[in-house]
Amino acid sequence: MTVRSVARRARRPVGDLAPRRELRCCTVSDGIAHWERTLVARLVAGDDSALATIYDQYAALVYGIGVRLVGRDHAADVTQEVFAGLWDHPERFDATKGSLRTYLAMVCRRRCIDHLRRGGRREANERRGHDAPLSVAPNVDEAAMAMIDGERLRDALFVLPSHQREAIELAYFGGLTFREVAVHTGTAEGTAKSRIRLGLQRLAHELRTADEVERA
Amino acid sequence: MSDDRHQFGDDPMLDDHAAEWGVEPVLALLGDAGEPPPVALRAGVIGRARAVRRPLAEPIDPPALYAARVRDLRRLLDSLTVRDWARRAHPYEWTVHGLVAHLLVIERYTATQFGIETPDVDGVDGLDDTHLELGATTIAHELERDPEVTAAAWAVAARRVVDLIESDTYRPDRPARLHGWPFSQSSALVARAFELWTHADDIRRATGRELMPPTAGELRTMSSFSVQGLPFLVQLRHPRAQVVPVRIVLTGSGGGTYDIGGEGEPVARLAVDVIDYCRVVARRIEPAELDAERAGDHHVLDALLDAASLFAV
Repeated sequence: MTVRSVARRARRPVGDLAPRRELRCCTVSDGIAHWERTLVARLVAGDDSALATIYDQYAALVYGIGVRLVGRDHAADVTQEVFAGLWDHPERFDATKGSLRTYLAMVCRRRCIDHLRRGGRREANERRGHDAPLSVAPNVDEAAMAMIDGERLRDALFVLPSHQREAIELAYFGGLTFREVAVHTGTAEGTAKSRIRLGLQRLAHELRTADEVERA
Repeated sequence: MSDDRHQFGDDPMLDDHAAEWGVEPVLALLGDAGEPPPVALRAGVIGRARAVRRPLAEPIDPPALYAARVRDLRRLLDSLTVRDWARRAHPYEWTVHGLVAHLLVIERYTATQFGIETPDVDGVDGLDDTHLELGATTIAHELERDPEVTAAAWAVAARRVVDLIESDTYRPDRPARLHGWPFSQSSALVARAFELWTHADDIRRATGRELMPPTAGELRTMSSFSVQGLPFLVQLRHPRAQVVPVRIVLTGSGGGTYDIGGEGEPVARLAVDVIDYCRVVARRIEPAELDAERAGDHHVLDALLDAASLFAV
């Protein structure tokens, strides 16, 4: 077969290699890890089509986090910053430390917190401009969490057993590591981890149920 | 995987590091769906990436590349033991000593093509100068001598080429026909550097030494030279072929992204480690055995990889 005859049949652009839905319903498997490593290696080599593939796979996740943490007006800016950062510094993603999905979520969260900090400073400056007293710097994690549909989240938190709620509050609101949560609650580290994880599963379930009830 | 991970079940939303990175709650609460961003955002993200190209390793000049490969091989030869010289150098029938004698012949042949006065090389017909048939008499003679003497003779021949290309008389665009290929001096040096690296690896493999990749700059010079020549090589292999746009992504240090075969959306994409690609070019890896990501039309990629090793001799 000549290249010409091949070319006649092949006049369509190169597409993604991995079907999106299939990936989303998989666990973080070796297959996905390999796929992600290959994509990031392509980014490092300057292949912008790899960025397009990653964007198509994870933009909804990143934008969704942005909407919940900084609101719809700023979520697009944050999303653009996250993917620009990945393009400029793909080597910062270390596949041995977790999935690309988690990495992008982490970067997005940081960008959102930066955004909220900038907003907080702006607000403080504006108040200073009006001779208002200086306020304490906002707890941005708390502010971010509060924006995840705060009322529903607080309701859901109260459904949890107290030991799970306490562990989650310490880990997220308090910013403690698993180990520190364990010390604080007088439990083993493994117990603290499982309380947090089971609590988060329950939270996610409660929020999904609330969504379904609302839709119905 | 830890027990804690098992306790969390098969929830695809979380991995072991989500908690460490502080995003576990966000991921858990977000659920699977996320939220589709505005359609225009994609064009903005990809447009910026196309405008802000990622910096890649700077290719080094062909004379510096050739000189670096000569130094590398010389260091390697200096480290060989008597037993090492007698080992078989696959994929050839020669021993390591025989392979170095072959290199002595090729270095003298290269010197001749660069206009340097050098001992005659037998087997030169001025047409194809078939690579492996050159210098049979010289090789037989060298195999009667001490291997270190052959290595020293090779070093002298290589040194004469290096002296020329580091002097003011070096002209990169001047023709230097090698084995029937109409190279310029500059591209001939890249081809020769490729061969020196390949044979150095043959010797390292034969003597149980660790393979030594060239520097990123050296790899970039060799691989970009090879990739950019692919459309030409495909047409040589398939004279009536219409070359189509293809993207070649060479990953790893010294890699890069190359759109070859003209303008337009690529009809195929090959992503492969730059060293593995070079080994296909050098016929040390069969294209079918290449660990690569292939997208689009596989027949187009097969034709390219088949043609990629045409320079290998």
